[in-house]
Amino acid sequence: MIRFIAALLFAVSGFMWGNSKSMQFKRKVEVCVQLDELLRFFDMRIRYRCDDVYEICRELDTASFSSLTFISLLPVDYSPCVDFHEAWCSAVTSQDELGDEEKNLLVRFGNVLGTCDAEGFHTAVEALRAELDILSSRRRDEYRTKGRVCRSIGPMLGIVAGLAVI
Amino acid sequence: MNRSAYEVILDYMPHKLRNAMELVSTSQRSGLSEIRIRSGRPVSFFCEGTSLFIDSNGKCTERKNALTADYEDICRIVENLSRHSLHSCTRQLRQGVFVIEGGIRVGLAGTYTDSAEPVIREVNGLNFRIAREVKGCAEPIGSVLLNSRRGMLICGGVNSGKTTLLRDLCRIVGNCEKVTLIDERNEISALVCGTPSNDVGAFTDVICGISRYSGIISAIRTLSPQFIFCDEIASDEDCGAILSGHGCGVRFAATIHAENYEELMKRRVGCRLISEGVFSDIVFLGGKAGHIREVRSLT
Repeated sequence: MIRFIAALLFAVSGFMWGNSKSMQFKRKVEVCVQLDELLRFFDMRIRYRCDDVYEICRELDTASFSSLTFISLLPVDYSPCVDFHEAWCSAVTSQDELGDEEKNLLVRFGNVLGTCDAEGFHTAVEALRAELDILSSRRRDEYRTKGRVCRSIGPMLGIVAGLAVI
Repeated sequence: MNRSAYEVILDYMPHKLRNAMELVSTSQRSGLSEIRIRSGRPVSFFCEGTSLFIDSNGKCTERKNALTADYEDICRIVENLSRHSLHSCTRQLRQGVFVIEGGIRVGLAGTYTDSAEPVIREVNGLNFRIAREVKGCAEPIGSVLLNSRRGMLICGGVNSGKTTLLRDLCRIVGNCEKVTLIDERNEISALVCGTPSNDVGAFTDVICGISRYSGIISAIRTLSPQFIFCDEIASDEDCGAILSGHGCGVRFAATIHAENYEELMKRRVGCRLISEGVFSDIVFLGGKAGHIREVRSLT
């Protein structure tokens, strides 16, 4: 009986491991979707409202970007002691869940933010969105292929381990 | 807490310059009228007509030991002035001036873009000008304007105090009558976040950031002022707008660049406005800045 329960537990934990691995790939896809929304969010507010970066960051705080937790670390008020670009960069790099490529893209976006006129900014955002599009489709492919592998291998390993215990 | 103009300016400085400027003594800070920062050249302070250089310890020094600003410093200051949002400062970059807390005007020198509406791009110099209101300097002419049936023209040369006098006149009249101030370059009211840094009167509406012509037309159509104040009238367009306002019964107070009556009559705008009867009094400034030399009545 104990062996049977242990085997069952192995099978369940294998399933859960596979599922959680697959969810990691899914989260990367969600991050890309939200990054695209973030770029459009800034683009719209800069092109049509000429908001300054602090006003936009204040609005971001109330918007729903659940996968981009670094947003809560961004400065929302001007302070002579805080360099916005440095603050942006350190906020982005502090979010461990972001992949290196996503971080790199966000840091480059932060460097452009507020350093040119609205048209120049729009052009830069379009270029970054094109890059993000490629990254996004790669993340979707990863989720589709590697996620599926994890979902099937996890339970399989669990069952094998369970059988071995029996 | 009210901060001094010097402390406000320090907020915009990069670390290198700020560290030195924080060490400047209180006595040197008082009487300061300008701080000039130029790329690759020494930071200079203008204090009661004389220029001074400071070293990295904030002490007065000779030019060869002076604290020098570089292009990076200038870029950082411009970033701070725009609050890291150059895209929202197109107007300031077009006019080459920022107005910050306390009515401090920051003039920019640099290269303008070659576009239909040129904006400054590579800034190589900055001039922080500390604004000084001289309340009461227009007291002798305030009642003259309030009691006249037409307007008043203030004439003077460069640095004669025309704008200072107009600002105080606006304060006096704006506390009694409905006034619209056309402040094209935000020099008179020094609006910061929509609130005037200078006292321009309780009943004064401020139109800022558009041409005098458009401002005058807009004021006449929408704000029903009894008086319109505008600085440095110069073009035929300004003249046309003032004439149409005069036709609607609005009284004008304006400044124009002219040292004396003869010079004023040589200027097409001045000559035409006087011949059309827009102004009943002309004020001439001279001697030291803001000194009223003569008030000539045309009635």
